[in-house]
Amino acid sequence: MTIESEYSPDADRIMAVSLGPQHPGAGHFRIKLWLDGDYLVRSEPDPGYVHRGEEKMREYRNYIQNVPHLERPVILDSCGILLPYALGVDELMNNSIPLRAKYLQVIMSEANRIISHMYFLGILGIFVGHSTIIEWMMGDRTTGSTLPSG
Amino acid sequence: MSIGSAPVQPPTKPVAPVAAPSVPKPEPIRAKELAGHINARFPSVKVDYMREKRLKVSTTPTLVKELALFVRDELGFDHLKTVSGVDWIAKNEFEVVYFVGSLSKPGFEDFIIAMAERVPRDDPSVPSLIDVWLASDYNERETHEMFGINFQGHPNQAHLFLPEDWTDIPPLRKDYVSPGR
Repeated sequence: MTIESEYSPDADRIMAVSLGPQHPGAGHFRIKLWLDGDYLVRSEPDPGYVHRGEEKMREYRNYIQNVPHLERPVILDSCGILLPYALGVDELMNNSIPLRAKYLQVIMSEANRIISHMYFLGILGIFVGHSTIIEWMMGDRTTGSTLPSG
Repeated sequence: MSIGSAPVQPPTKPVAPVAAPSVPKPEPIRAKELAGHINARFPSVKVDYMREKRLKVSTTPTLVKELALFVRDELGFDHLKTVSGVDWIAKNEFEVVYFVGSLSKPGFEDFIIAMAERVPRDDPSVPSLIDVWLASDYNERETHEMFGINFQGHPNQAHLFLPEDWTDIPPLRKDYVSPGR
């Protein structure tokens, strides 16, 4: 293994351990640990192949084609990434934004932020063994999800 | 008008949307104060007022470390937000931008200073600011592997996101062509 050869002042004492990746949903993140008995002598985070090259893909597309694509990496809070993108495009094109659109931007971003917190609370409930809470949270989340359609 | 007749053309062409005139924005007092401090110490540095709460400082690789220490210690901007790179391929230059904010300076919690430095594309080498802001470690590593900019003094510029066997040019350069394009 390469992991031992990277740090071996005393190869007999130091043990290399890979903490993670635990679950594909956790983003295949691991931490490489070098242990001396109970003591942690060195650690190195390894994010894995999570960089999707979104910036490069943007270069090949029209500005409006980027909108659905940008939402993909941000699963829960898609308005949170689209608002700064829209602000940037509007500034580059020198657009004047109507007041109604500004209100809509803020309402959608805030609603999206709240329902992403609700998802977090639901998953947290599952982790602590209270599986009813995700049903409650998903129920309330629907209120926010159906907000744009009235 | 009978059903089935040709649709009536609109009398005039629809009005094209007119771009809003760009009026010079007033420079608020906070940005002016900061720009004054920076220019008093570094007269050669260009300070641009971008918008409310945003200031851009254009500097050079030889001056950037001194300026960073000044911004951190004297102005109180102790928090590095991110480091990004820009490929100005027509000008044959790279630009490295450090975005710094403050967690401790009262009244400046929402303020961001962008410190930009330009290097030629043929020899992209800038000093690492890891001694100034420790948080620049991973940000500089990413900028290094995505743009091929060498950060002098950085302890570890190994690949973070790219595959270990990557042999092509750094992928966020403008002259890199994605496979299949």
